[in-house]
Amino acid sequence: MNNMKYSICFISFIFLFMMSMLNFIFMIYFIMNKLVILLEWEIISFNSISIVMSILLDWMSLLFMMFVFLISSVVIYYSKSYMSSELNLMRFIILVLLFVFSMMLLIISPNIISILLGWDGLGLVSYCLVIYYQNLKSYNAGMLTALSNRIGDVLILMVISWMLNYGSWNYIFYLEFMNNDWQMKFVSSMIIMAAMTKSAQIPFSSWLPAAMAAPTPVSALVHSSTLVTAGVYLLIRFNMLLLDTFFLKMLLLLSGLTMFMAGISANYEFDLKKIIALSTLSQLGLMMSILSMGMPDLAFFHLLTHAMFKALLFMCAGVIIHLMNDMQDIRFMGGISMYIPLTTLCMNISNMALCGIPFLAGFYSKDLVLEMVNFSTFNLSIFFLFYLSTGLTMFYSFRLVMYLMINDYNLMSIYNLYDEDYVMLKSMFILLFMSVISGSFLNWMIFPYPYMIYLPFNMKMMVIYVSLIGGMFGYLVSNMNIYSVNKFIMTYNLSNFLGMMWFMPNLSTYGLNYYFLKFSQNLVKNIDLGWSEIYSGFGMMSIMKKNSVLYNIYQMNNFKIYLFSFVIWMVIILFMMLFNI
Amino acid sequence: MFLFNSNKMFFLFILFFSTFISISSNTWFGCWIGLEINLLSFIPLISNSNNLLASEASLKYFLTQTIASINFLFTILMMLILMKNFEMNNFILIMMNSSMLMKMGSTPFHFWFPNIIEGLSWFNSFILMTWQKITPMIILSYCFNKNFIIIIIIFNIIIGAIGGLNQTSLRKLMAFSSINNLGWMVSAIMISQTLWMFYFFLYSFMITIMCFLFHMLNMYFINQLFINNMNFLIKINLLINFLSLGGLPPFIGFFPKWIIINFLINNNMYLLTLLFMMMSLIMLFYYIRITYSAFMFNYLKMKWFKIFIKNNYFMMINFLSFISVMGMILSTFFFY
Amino acid sequence: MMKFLFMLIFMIPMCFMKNMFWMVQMMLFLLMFLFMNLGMSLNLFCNFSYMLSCDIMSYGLIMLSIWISVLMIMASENLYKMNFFLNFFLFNIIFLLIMLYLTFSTMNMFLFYLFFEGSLIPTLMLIIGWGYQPERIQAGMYLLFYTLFVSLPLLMGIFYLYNEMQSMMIYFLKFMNLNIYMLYFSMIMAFLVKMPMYFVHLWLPKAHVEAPVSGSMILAGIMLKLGGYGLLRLMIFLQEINLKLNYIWIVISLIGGFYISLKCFSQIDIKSLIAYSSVAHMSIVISGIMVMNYWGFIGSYILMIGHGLCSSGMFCLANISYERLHSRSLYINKGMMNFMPSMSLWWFLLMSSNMAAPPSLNLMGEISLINSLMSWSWVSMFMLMMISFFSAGYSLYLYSFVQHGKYYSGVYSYYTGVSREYLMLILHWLPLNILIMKIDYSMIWF
Repeated sequence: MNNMKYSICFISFIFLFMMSMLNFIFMIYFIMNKLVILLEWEIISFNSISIVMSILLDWMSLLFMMFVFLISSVVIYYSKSYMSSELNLMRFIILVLLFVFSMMLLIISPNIISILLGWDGLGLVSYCLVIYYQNLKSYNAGMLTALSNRIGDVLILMVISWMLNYGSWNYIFYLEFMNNDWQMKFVSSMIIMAAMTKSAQIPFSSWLPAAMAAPTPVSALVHSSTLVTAGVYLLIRFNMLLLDTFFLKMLLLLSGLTMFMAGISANYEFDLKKIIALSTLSQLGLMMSILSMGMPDLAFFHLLTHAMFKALLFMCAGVIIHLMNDMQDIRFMGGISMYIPLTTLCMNISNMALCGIPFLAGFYSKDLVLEMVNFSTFNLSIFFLFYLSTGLTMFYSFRLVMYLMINDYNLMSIYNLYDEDYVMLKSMFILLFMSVISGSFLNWMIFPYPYMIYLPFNMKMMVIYVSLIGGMFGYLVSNMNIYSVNKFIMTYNLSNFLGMMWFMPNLSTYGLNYYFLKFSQNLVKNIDLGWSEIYSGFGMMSIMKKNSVLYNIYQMNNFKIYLFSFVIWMVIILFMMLFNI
Repeated sequence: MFLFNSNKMFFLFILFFSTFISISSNTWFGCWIGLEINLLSFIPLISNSNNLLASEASLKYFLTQTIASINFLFTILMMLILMKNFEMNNFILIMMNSSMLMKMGSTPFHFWFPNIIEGLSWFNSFILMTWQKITPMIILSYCFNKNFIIIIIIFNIIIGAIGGLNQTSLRKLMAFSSINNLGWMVSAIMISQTLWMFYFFLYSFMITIMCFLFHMLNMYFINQLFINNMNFLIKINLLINFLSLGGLPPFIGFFPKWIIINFLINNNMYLLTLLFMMMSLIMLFYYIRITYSAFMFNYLKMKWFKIFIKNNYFMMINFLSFISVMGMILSTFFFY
Repeated sequence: MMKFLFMLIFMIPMCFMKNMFWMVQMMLFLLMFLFMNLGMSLNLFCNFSYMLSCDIMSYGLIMLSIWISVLMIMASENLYKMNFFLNFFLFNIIFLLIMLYLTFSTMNMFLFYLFFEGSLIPTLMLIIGWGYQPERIQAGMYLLFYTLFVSLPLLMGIFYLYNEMQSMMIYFLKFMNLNIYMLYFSMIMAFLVKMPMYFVHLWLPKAHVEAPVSGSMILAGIMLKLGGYGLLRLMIFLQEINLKLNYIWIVISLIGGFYISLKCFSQIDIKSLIAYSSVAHMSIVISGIMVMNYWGFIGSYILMIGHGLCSSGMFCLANISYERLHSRSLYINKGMMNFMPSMSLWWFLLMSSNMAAPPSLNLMGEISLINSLMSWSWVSMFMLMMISFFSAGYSLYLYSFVQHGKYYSGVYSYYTGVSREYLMLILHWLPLNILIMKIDYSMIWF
């Protein structure tokens, strides 16, 4: 049985890796020849509309699928070692494979109904994966994840019915032509909201940090690269619909705020996975905001490169957590650079890629994004949001590096940190390779000609200035000791607000639950056990009973009265007859 | 059963003959004679010098029926003398119908009916509920005042339904159910006499089974139904017959109600039909209350309560219940 | 069609023979497969024989009723072990199946009414005879009297139709153009109470909770669909009035569905939660039928079949827990994943089908119903969003509460699922999720 557990990891890894390479080859062919293949299978056609199952293979979907398959194959191989003590490893791997399948359905569908299939599947399977560990925290996190995603599901169901207007659910064909109708405005608002729930923008961002209760391979796959980018991908596909609408500007504001908020909150966090989750949230905000500025291909570019280094970052975090005896608090960690150099190498490179250090993967996408922001015509607040968030990225990354690597080891006095887990290392190296070269590789593949950017010197160097300042702050903050916590107490309210993600988790859980449950209780008391009962079963019964008791009073009478009443009746009728004749 | 008592058998035969006299006579006077002989022959059937309640019942019966017959005679004579049998204005009809209604035990002159039936054995109450209704119904059908009869019908069904809700004695319950069914039967008379005969025949069939069953089980009150070792088939028979009496399809009790509703709607009497149906629901409620003992296979059984029930006429009851269940379907075979 | 009726009638003596419990179930399986070979696909009446016939609506619903009867017998193995009035139980099931079969396949409105009422008696006997708690008497009364109170005016309406049109054949109903409001209300209410609609739904939680597992399965599976079937038949001749008055029922059903979905969160009894979720699903079905476009009829038909399978499966699951713990309360049935991990797979699959996850029939039905309601009025979007979201909410609530967490510490001994239970669950789940491949059987009616 053990052999079967491990061999399923290996077989899935080989299979998914082969699929990834296959997709890679096809993608290059498709990009070079500008080829698009659309396969359709009509399930049913009636009343002038038809439900079809379609598969759209163009360069975007093949590229994304390649990345998804690559990351998932690496993650499964990684979990062979990470989850090796798990009794139900089969179940875990099958869930991950189901997840990949749903993601694949989402990527290749040009049809809103098959997007619904993939979207619903993603929501459910990610619920199963988040509650995998069966403790209280996972339970709560799973519920929050599933219900936030469900809001998006419901919105897509409504989009399906609004799109019934146009006679076809293959939105690819008619988005450009129909984007002035008011029905399409509804569709666009709902699509944006659905994407916001999936990609955890404000006000739906409380589920992403909570979902860190999932096992680390799941976080690496799901919460860094695939599930959360499904929303961005949906908006990229629907991009033609959304240009120059009001909702897109609203999305710009919200995603910019998400970026900013996540960056700040990451600085107050001490849990390793939560910091990485908030960093993902910040980068998602970046993707969404560049998308809402009207540059979808840049968003796609950043999506792909971010997937690489974020997955790598989660995997390194997994290794570190294993070594620290399942402790996730960074205040207990430190000095790992001396003991586990290879993991440190991966961690450093992914952190640097995240910050946009030149010529790593993140540099190409992030720097291009920031230069396009500089070059665009939005106002100062957006500018500030972007640059401050970039600075904050450097801030928390450097703080993390300080806590993990440069400070001293804080956990126990006798310890053994070892780097010889070759399974995990091999998977990390594949991603390491990709996170170094994928930036430039994608840059050459996706953009047939480079963007024209003409900036003054200081604007161009703004990124470096902001990064340096951020790094300096990171260094300062990581040196704070217990004594300096008093400063936090003086700004207690502000710190609480900023650190608790602007209170969004509380608002989306306690804030909503109470009102709905109270409403339902009132309904039950007043209608179900109140008026409905009075006007039907119970009330009727009590009326009948009272009347019956009343009747019995008439029944139990003296016998002579009955006879006498009969005689009186006859006499009355007789007199009436006699006086009428 | 009176098959073993020749005195009672004698009076039973005279009872039957008196009804025949009444319904086959040409004149009103013949009807009256039949009614009197009916009264005379029923009193000895009821009275039992050992049972105080029975003797009291026989006396009460005598008083009420006498007053009704005397009034009937008075009405007939007045029709003969004052109007010379030509014009029948409303009031005389009301008087004649009232006396017939009191004979039957219909509202608003029904107060004797539950009282008296409390003192009778099941066989006597069976005769009181079924046979004794034939003569007054037929006399009623000769001429009736439509408005008066509709009011009477409405009162009948309401009183029959609501009065029966608070009873625990099985005989009183059957009395109120009989009052309710009187309402149905009088409305059938309004439409056609064949319809009444059809309803009456099926109603008496159902009452036969009930009275027979209760006589065999020797039960007079609802709480006596919850005995340990009632044979399961007897319970099922009880269940089926009460549901049939309540008018639930697919039992045979639904058949007469269906036909009457059909004809009432054909004659555009919608509100009356609605009232019929609502009250029959209330009747159904207390029938089902009786059948709880049969429905629930699991209930509190007392260990020391061991009564053995004789099953002499078991086959007969099974056969009759079979007709009750399959009656509707079998009757369709007669129409194709 | 008569051949199936005779097969059912001659199964009755088999119920009373010794050791024939499983044989009856096998014969019903055989009946199912024989019936499936009729191959129905049109909205016209086919397969005439002696006043019984079949059209597409009847076909699916008769198959559903036979299937659920099979699974009812499979679920009641407890009765078999305890030998608790077993023959009469089998007789009840066969009698109920005969009544349902005749209801769906008769061509005469009055006979439809007769068998519609006649199917109440065996249900009542199941609830009061084999139920577990003293409250079952009240539950049976509520069931019987709610249904009878509104179906007697239906009888009046049928006779009125007979008086006017001199024919009771369902096929000739489309030539009737009666515009009478009273007739409309008296006929519609019977089916709306059966469905049930929001304000008149009080009988359903009681009846479902107090019934034994077989009673719950047949109630949730088919008896609710009798109302839908009746509405679908009546709409043929009540079209004009319905188009004027349907907004009443749609509004009550939609808002009622929202309220009921909220009410599900405050339940502490598993079966009660499933019963309320039935009401919420049926509320969208009513709205779909009342809107009277093609999508609406189709969506309601598909959702009826899907919901029948799904709810019945969930009641089986509730019973599986009940047989082990002898309680239906949520506070005792928790942490089941620690005891029966394979069963939690089935809990998850059936719960996800309940919340309309792909690829179940429920999803197809909901998509069609949402399409039809939105094409009637886009304002219904808000209520539909709420109903859909909350159905996911309570389904996940039930699943996570029953399966995850610490188990109740008062549990002494236990046994994991037996293969009969797994067979039952897969026989519920597989048609629900595979039939979406052949959805044109339900969607193309002309």
